[in-house]
Amino acid sequence: MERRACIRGGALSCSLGTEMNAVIGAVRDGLTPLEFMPLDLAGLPYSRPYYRLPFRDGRRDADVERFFYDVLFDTVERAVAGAGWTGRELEGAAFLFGSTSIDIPIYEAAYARSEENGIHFFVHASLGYGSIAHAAADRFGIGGPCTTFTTACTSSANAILYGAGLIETGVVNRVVAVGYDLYNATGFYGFESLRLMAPERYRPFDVDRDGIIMGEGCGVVLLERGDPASGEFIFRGGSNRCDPFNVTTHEENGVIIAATMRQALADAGVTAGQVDAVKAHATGSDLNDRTECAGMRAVFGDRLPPVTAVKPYVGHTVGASGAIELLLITESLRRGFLPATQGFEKEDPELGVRPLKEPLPMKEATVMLNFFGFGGNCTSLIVSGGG
Amino acid sequence: MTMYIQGASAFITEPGTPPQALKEELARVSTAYFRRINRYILLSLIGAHRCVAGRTVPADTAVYLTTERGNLGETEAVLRQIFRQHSLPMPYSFINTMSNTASFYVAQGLGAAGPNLSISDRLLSFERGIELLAVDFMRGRVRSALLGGVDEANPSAIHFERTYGIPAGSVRGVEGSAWLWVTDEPEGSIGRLLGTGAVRDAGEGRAWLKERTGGSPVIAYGLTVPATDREAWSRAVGAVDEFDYLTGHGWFDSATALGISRFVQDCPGRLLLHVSRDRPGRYTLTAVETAAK
Repeated sequence: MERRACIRGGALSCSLGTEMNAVIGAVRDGLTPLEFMPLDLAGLPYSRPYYRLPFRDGRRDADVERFFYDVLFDTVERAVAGAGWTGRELEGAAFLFGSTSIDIPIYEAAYARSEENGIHFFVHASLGYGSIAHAAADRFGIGGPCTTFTTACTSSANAILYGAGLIETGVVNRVVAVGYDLYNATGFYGFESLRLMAPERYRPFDVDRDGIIMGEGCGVVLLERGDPASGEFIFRGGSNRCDPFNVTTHEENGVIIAATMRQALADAGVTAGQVDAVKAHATGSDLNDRTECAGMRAVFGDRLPPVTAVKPYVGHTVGASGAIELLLITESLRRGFLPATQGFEKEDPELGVRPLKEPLPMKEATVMLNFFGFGGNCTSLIVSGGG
Repeated sequence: MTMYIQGASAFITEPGTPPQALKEELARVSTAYFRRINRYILLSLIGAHRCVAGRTVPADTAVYLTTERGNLGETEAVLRQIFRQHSLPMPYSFINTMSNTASFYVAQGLGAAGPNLSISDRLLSFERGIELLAVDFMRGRVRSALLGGVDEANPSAIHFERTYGIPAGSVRGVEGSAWLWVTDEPEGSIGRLLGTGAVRDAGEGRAWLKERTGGSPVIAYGLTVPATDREAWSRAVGAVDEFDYLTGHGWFDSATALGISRFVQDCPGRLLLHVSRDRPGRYTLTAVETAAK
């Protein structure tokens, strides 16, 4: 049997909820559940919008660490239960975890309570980058490779790319690929320090776009060796590359971004003309959108397929965006549509890309999903299926 | 698919080495100028540039930076700014909290625009890097790669004992940055990376090694392989010698990289089997063969 990875299932915890039908229904209806979060810790008199998880039961305030693991374990549990994987099947699986913040929300809370300063604090509070993944793997009896990817906004996209690679090269037959980033002050205040956050609305690719809006969430994608069942997607291929131009931005002409997309197409054995849709990274920042569109124009020329972006539904969930956005796209297609780009109104002639303003009926599709992050990290994934 | 080693480096320094000394060391191995970089990035750059040793890497070279705990110092600085000083963090402090900032600067300094990963796995980070490198080689995505293990010193005896389950002080802690440059070209290579894999016990380990090579290995152990297990391992694989790099050079969190790169530099014409053990007691093996001088 040819070794290829198919997407057997998944689960989400995001600002739209946790139940997949309800989440995708909200996407179809164009819901964008924004809240405003104060920046009072830094003494600033204003707030910024944020996409929070919809749990209002006080658990987070009572115990951040417990809440952190509750969200992670619950999302993994729903994914595994949905796919019907047995304990024995999980025993040989790999657990690949992608996150930008990893355990920062936990030790940040401890830091806020403590009066201690200095690096010694962290060695009490943080058990290392791999500790979260191991806690989850131990909980579910997952005994294969347990790797944490921390490549900024491409973290869980890379977990999926290399998870498929572990299946394709025969290392494992099953992979639990997770993207998880929970609210943390380091990220929220850090992005504000870079002046990258939009003040009110998310408008990626719009001529009046004015920044990113962050979000929190967890996405779990289950990959398995074999053929897809009806409606399932297969992983066709992908690519990861580094644009060494600048640590926070990509070269404006999008050369490496385009090279990443081309290499992903070659890896998947798919031509640009065979791509039915593109899920753009579309952070909504002026420069990022410009470089991404330059890359898309270079690859697709004047035959650009329908383009959409899903951050306006759940926010920029940074390292979790790979898993969360892949599920939003594939689950929408399984229900017969490609989501619209909420917030996009007026085309920017400099971008030359006009994303969908309304949901587009679409079932079976080959989709390119793009993710670009700090550290010049660029990842493109190609999946086919649906219907 | 064979992974040929074209270069190896193992930079270690005492905990608390002043940043200026690290900057001077970097200037000795690289003419590039890096602004606003921190201790962790400095360590990464020194090791990677030493490994390449002034040569030019292909433009599509990949970088796999493996670490147990990444960038601790800068993260504390950012939290102090937010929670103690009640201000926004300094922009570059925030950017440098992301661990892939270090792998980015390695790529930028060497002109390496291939895949760029920062990854971790408790006690097995470097081995996971080899595993992903092998995936990229087998899938034909990568033909040249830098693979490093980088960690700042672990300053806490409590943390050390909790993480590794052995008494602090049983090994000398250092800061380290150890790298291999691996390509698919045999010409000029100084060794071969034969792969990495998980086994349950020494018997399985013997079979794993036999699948890859017929030679008798020198054996090296990760920090957490108990002394009581070592004799069984040595006997099972027919080890001809032990390479005790931890006693010889010191230890940092991702020290498997140190052991393998030192062996490549110090032991021509030999075979190394490196044995690591994770917390549930599973073993992960790595095999390297060095070219005769």
